[in-house]
Amino acid sequence: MIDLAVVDLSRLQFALTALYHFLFVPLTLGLSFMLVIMESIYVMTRRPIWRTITRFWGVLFGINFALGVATGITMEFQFGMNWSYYSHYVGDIFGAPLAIEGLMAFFLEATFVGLMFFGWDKLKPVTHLFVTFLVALGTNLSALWILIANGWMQNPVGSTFNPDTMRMEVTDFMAVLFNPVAQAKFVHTVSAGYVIAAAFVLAVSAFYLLRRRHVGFAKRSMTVAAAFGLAASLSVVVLGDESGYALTDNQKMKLAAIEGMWHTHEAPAGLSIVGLPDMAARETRYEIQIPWALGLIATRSLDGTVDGIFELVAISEDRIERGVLAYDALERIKADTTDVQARADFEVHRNDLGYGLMLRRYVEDPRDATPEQIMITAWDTVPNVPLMFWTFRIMAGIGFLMIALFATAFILCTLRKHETRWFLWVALLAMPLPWIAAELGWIVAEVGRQPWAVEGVLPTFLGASSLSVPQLWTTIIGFTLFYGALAVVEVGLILHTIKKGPFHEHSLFGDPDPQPAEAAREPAPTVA
Amino acid sequence: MDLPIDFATLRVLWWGLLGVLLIAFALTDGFDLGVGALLPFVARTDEERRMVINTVGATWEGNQVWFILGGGAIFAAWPLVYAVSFSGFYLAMFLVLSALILRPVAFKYRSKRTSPRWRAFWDWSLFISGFVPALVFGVAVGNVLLGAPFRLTSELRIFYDGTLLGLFTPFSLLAGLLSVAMLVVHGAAWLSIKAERGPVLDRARTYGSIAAILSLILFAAGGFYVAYGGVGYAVTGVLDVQGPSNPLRALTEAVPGAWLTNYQTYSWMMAAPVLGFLGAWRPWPAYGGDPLCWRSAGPRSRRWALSPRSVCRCSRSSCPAPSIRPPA
Repeated sequence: MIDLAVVDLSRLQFALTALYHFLFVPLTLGLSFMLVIMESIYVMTRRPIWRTITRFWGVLFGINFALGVATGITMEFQFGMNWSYYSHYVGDIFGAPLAIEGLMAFFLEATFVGLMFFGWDKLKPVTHLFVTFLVALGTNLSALWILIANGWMQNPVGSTFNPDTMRMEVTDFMAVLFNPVAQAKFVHTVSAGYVIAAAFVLAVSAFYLLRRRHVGFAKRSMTVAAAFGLAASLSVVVLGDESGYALTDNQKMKLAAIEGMWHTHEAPAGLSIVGLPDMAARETRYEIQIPWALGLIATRSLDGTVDGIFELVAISEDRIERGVLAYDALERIKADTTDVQARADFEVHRNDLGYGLMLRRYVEDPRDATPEQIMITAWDTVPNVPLMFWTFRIMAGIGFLMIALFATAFILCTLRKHETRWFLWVALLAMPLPWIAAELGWIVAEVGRQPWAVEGVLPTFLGASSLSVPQLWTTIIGFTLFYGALAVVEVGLILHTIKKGPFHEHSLFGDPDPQPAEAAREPAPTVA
Repeated sequence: MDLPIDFATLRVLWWGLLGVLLIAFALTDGFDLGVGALLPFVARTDEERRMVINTVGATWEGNQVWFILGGGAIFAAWPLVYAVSFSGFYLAMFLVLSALILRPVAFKYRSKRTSPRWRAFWDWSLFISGFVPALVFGVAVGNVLLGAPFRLTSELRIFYDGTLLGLFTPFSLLAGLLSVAMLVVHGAAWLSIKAERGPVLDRARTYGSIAAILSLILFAAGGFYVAYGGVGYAVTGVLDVQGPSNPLRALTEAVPGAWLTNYQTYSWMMAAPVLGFLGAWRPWPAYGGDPLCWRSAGPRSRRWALSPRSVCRCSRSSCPAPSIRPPA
C-alpha cells in the first residue's frame, strides 16, 4: 500500500517550496519588463536620471533574481526526488517543456543577466537595452514553458498511455504546446507578475514620496508603475476570466468547487458572491448569487449548463468502474505481452485507467474494490470546496482592487498629483496584496486539481516516491530553516538598498568610478 | 508519435546529447566550482577574494545552465533514470541542492555589504557551494559504477533500499575526491590565466599542482579498482534496441571487470582514459611557465597557451588589457 503520510508530507514540501519560489518569480517577470521600459526611455531621451532609475530598480531586480533562480533549481530536482513515480509516468511529456525551458529560457536569461549587470560601462546604451530586453524575454519564456508543463497536468492533451512502458507518451507535441489551458494560464500568470512588479515599484516610490526623498526619481518611477500596472491588472482579470472559460471544458469539478455548486442549475447558472460551503453536508449555505453570471462567464451562452458536484461525482463513479476494467486488461498485458484480447480490452477503456488507479488508495488491487469503496473514491474526486470557494474569491477581489489602485495612480500621475498623501499610504500598504493573490491563485489551480497529479490520468498519491517519513521531515525542516534564513537576508538587503536610495547604486554595483556630478543632481520634478 | 528517425537512432542521439550537456557542464562550470572551492585558500584578503570572484562573476550563471539542462534532458529522455537516481539518492540530492541554492545567492549578495563578517560568511558559502557539488557528483558517479540497490515493481514503481551513508563507500569517496581534485585543477588553471601576477597566482599554482598530482593518483587508483575490484555490469539477455523502454524486459547481471570490455571491443575508446591522464598532467608543469603570457593570451587561446612560444609571440600592444580590476 502507499504510505499516505509520505504523500501528505511530499505535498506539504512541494507546496512550501513552490509557493516560496513564486514569491520571487513574479517580481522577476514583471520587473524585467519594467526595466526594459525605463531603459528605453533612457535610450530615447538620454537623460541621466532614467539611467539612474533603471540601475536602481536593476539592483533590486538582481537581489530578487538570485533567489528566484536559486529556489527554481529546487523545483526541477523535486519532481525526481519526491515524485519519482510521477516523473516516470509522465516524464516523456512533462520533462520535454522543462528541458526546452532550460535550452531556450535559462541560457538566454543566465547569459545576459551577467552582461546586464557587468555591462553598464562596457556596452553602448542601445546594446545594453537589447541585453536587458533579452533578460526579460528569457524570464518570460521560462514562464511560458513551465506553464505549458503545468497546463498539461491540468488538461493532458496530445498524449496516451503505453502499456509496454507503463507510462504516458507523446502523441502530438503541437497539441501539448498549444494547449488552450496552458496558453490562458501563461498570460494570466505573467500578467500577475507584471501587477506584482508594478505594485512593488509603486509602493517603494510612494515610500520615497511620503518621506520627500528622491522626489524626481520617485515620481518618474511611479508614473511608469501606474501605466504598466493598469494595463497588467486589466489583463490579469480579463485573462483570468479566459482561464475560467477554459475550465468549463476540462476541469468541471474545479469550476464546481470554486462556485460551491453542488447541483446542476438550470441554464444560465448564477454566480455566487458569498456563501458557506459545507463539505460534510454537501451544500453551500447563505448563498448570495448574481443571476445568470456564471452561465455567461463559463459557457459564453445563455443556454449552456454548468455541472454541479453531485452530477460530476456520478460521472466519476462510472469512470471508476470502467477504470477497473482497464486495470484488469493492463494486468493481463503485463502477464502476457502478446495477449491480443487483453490489448483490445485495454483500448476500449484506456481513458479511464486513471480512475481505476484511484482505488489504490483503499485496495491493493482495484479489481477487489467493493461498491462502497467505489462510492467513496468517487467522492474523493471532489477537491476541498470551502478552500477553493474562498481562495478564489479573495484572489479575484484583490484583482479588482488592483485595477482600482492602478487606475487611481494613473489618473493622479496624469494630473501631476503624485504627492497625494492618502493615496501614497494606500499604495504602500497595498504592496503585499498582489503577492497574496498570486499565491492564492496557485492554490486555486493546484488544490483544485486534486486528487489528481495529472487530471484524470494519475492520482497524486500514486505519484509520490517511496521515501520514509524521517527523510521527508529532514528535508522539510532543512528547507524551512534554509529558506527562512534566505528570506530574512533578502528582505534585509532590499530594505537596505531602498534606504540607501537610488543615488548610491554605484557602490552597490562595485562600480570602479562613481560619477558624483550625475549622482548629486536631483532633477527638476516637473520633467517626466 | 511518428518520428522521422527510428527509435534506436533516437536513443543514441539522446545519449550523445546528454554526454555533450554533462561534458559542457564540466568544462564550463567546472572551473567555477573549482574557483569556489579554492576561494578561501588562494585568496586571503578581501581585495584578493574580490579579484578571484570577478574572474567568474559574469559567466558562472550561464555556465550553470548546462547542469540544469542536463537535469531536464534526463527527465525528458530517460524519465526512469531521473526518477530512480533523484529519489534514490534523496538526501544526497538535498545536499547538492542546498549547495546550488547557496551559490547564486552568495555570488549576488557578497558585495552588497562591506562588513568583514558578512563577506567572510559568503566566501565560505562559495567554498561550500563549490566543494559539496563537486564531491557529491563524484560520489554519485562512483555509485553508478558500483550499482545502486533499487528494485522495480511490475508497474515500474521504484523502491530504493540504500541509505545516505551507504553511498559513501571507499570507492565512491575516491571518485568524489577525484572529482574535487579535477575541478580544483580546472579552477586553478583558470585562475592562472586570469589572475594578475601576485600571491593569488602563486597560491593557485601551488594548489593546482597538488591537485593535479592527486588527480593522477586517484584516477589511476580508481581505474585499477574498476578493473580488479570486482565491480561491473553487463547486459546478458537479448536486447531489443527498437523495443519499448521497459527495464523489466531486459536482463543485466553483475560481471566483475565488465566496465572495461568496451575498451577491448572498440580500442579507439582508449582515447578517453588517455585524455583523462593527459588532462590532469598537462597543466601541471605549465604552472611553471610565465603566467603573464597565459593571461595575455586570454581564455580563447588556451589551446595554444600550453606552447609558450606561440603565446609570447603576442606582443604587449595586441594583448588585451588585464580586465579584472578589484572594484572600488
